[in-house]
Amino acid sequence: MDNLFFRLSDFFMEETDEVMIPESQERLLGALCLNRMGGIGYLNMRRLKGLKVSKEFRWTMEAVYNDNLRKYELLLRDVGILSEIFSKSTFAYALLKGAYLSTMLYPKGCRVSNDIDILVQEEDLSRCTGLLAEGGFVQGQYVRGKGIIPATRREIVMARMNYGETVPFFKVVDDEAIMVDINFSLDYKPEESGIVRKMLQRTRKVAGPSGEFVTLDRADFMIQLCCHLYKEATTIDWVMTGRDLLLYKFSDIYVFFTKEYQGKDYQLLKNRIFEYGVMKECFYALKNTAVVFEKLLQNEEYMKLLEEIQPDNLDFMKQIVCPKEKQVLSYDMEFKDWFMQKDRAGLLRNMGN
Amino acid sequence: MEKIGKEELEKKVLELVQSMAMEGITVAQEDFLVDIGFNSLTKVDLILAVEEEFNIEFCDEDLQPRKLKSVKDLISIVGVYLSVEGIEELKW
Repeated sequence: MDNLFFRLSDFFMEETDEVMIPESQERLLGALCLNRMGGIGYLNMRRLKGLKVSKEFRWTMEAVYNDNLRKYELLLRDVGILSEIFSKSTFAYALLKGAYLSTMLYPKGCRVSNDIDILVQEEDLSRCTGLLAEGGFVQGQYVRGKGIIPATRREIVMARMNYGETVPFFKVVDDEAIMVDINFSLDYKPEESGIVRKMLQRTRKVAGPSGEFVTLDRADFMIQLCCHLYKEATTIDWVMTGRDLLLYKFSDIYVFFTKEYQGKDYQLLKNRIFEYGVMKECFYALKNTAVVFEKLLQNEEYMKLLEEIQPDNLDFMKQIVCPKEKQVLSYDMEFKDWFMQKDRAGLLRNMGN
Repeated sequence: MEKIGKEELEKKVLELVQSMAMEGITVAQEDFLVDIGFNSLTKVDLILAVEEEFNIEFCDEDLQPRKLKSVKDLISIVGVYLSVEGIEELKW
């Protein structure tokens, strides 16, 4: 099942007549859906003439893809609304991840986004939240059928003081909610390092299907994806809930690098990684992306980049941190096996403080 | 809220912190909140109590653990919101 799962999730999969029979259709279907690879999986499934799966498998995949298409249209609408609101901003900002990836990198229906992430400097938080409030957004949670349940003041203070986050913002348009998440630091890196400030000085305006919007420049976009993946893959809270290693995050890096760095100089990316001091984070994300999407092993520039940013000590590659307990846990198996484990948290052993 | 002076502000904040601090401790301005019994949850309670007492709302930029470490930090932030003379904004 494992190989078929990774193969069906490969955006650049080659067409073949080879006969393929999944060991377990249920597991394959579940893995594709839970890893948000249903869209790519569906399109690939249609191109694999020798794939032996039931009608029910195909119908379910088609339903997932159709839902992705519906969500794609909603995302276009939401990015348009956000761009309009932020055109009035007097501070630097950038839309991250899905706003660009789902609407501009992948064809429609291949990637889903449940929210829109915005990066701002922490000192601009009030101005950003003010702009969202002016645009009709409310901090809280959205429950279908009940609408937006505003966050209490305690929830807002708690999120800021104890998690360094802001409670998400929601707005309902035509019975569908738009969710906005504000980010103000590069995961794991204290903003004293000035990385966010530098990233926000280098933003670019892109023309998407829903109009122009501001996002990070190519190198910063890649670095943000890598740091985000690294944080979630190596923090116990994500491991415990099984959200640490979702394949779509690796696919984003794979597809972004393959499409956006095709024939382009990767030196700038390398220099930026060193400038920000994120060699460990990027090495982890890039190396493991090549483990699950093996075509990258043939990409000379990608492999050269990996070699040049590789830290001396690689212990961190198999470590998980528990920030609250200030402890480090580790595992002892190859990354692909680790990825496919059902209960990763149960396999960790303590390395001490 | 009526305009208050620096001394009154300090007194009120100290009283409020004292009422929520660990028993048997006399709170001083220089005290770090963690040393007088506040943890991540009770710190939130303290902020909410201060907001209610002075009828203010801390802005997002001020709601950071590194900005709210001591009683003095609290006095300083509230003082700036209330434009209390003699209180200077802390530099970060």
